[in-house]
Amino acid sequence: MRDVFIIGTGIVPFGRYPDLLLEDFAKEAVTEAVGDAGLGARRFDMAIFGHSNGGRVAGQRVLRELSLTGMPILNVENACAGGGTSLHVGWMAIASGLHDLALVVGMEKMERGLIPPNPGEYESFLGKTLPAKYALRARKHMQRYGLTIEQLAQVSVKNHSAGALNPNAHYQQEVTLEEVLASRPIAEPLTLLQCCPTTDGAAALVIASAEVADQLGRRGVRIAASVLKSGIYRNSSTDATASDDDLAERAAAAAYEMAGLGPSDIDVAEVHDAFTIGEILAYENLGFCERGEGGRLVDEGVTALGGRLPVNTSGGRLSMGHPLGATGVAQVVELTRQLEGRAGARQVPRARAALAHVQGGSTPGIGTGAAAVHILTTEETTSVH
Amino acid sequence: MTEVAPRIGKWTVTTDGDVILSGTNCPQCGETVFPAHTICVRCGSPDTHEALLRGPAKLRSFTIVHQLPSGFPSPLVIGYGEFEGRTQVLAPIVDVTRNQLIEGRPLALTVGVTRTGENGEEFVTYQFTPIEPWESDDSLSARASSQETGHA
Ligand SMILES: [Zn+2]
Repeated sequence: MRDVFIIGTGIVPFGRYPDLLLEDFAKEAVTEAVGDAGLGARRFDMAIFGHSNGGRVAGQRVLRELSLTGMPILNVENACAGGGTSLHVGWMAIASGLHDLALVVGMEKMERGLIPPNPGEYESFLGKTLPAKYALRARKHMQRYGLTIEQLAQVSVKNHSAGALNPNAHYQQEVTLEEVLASRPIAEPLTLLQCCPTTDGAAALVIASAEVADQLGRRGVRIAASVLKSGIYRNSSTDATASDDDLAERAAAAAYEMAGLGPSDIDVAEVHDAFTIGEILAYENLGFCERGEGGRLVDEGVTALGGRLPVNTSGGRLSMGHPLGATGVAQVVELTRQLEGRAGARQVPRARAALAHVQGGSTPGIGTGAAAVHILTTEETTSVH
Repeated sequence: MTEVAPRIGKWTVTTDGDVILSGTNCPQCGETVFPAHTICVRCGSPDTHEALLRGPAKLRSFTIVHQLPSGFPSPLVIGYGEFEGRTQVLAPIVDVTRNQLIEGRPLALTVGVTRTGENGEEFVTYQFTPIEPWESDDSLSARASSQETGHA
């Protein structure tokens, strides 16, 4: 496998664009990434677009606006993990030696309100909405490990506090613990401020082989690991780990092995906090702490800006918003800029290794449909693992 | 819902009024699942047999859902009931009060209207109902915003 580098990033402010087409704002993210990479007249070998609601050949519709035509363009659907999946596809194309320069875009214009379930999802038919799915995981964690509603709410406080420093976040206001707990219940114990808002957005990455990265003088951030997995059936009574947690655990273990790094090497992370409990479980599944210790980690400020391992410095899904396909790419934009020292007021000092985790899509009986984990490093990173 | 029938699991009601869920068991790996799978979802064996699940089930995780698609009563309690350590089934929990929502408590399998469709049609599904009599009248609709439920 060849090394793959991230040589350009672009993102539009996440928010609501009722009067714009998807093409209108997605092309802005692409333009920024292309400019950042300093591509000049160089053409992409391939482009991959992650989205769930974009409709047919949405990627081609975006690139047509920029006169970027003729190359293979792929449209990828993997629910909340669509952006991470798209980066994985781009990484495969370059790591394998087939291509040298690829564009990876995540983009979404969301429907308002609850995401409607697929007709075959029998649990959704009985009332298990997406927030309810996470609420059930939260209740289980409370029963088993004593996670408190205050610890859950603290995730929202922490991420909104980072989001207040991010000009690209949908919500840029801090919230208090009292406000989070007092906001209206959505699926108990989750309240409104513990659920990601409905948000439109787009983000883009230019990725390249070492040869092209060197030609452009942009060999800064390397994709040290790119892993995509799907769920496996687990029996919630007899298996130690539920399918959703098992999936993230397997994806993370494979990513650490590929990177030759361990959880203690990670300096900054973006994890899937579509709901507060998702971030707590991610800490445990990604090895940032022991199982059952996720609540303590947020309590002690370990994962806040200024802590030992800042998580969701972008503001996370809770303040950025969560345009499904855009999320995984936006996470990597944030982490790349952290490693480049370009994260402004959210900069994590001396960040050299970063981890991005997205997962989503319900498949009855086998849990989450897809999880992607990426580890990024600066060139000088060496393993202490 | 459209003309495509929802793919929830099958159940029968006996002459005594008992509700029985019809899942499958895999002789190869021993796994029991509901709804039924012709190919075992754990090991891939094509040799599965019908397995019947009877109440009472034990309450495992649960949530009180307040934001719902149209057609559901709100709030709606849903939860997982565990059948003899074999498998867990998610269903609406009806005729329930907040202080009955405690992990491990027994649930009867019942049948009732879970939701209505776009044209007012009623969808009857399996449900859970707490078995033991409870004295409190701490009804869900009266305290819709409490956060303390079952936090033991
Ligand atoms: Zn089997």
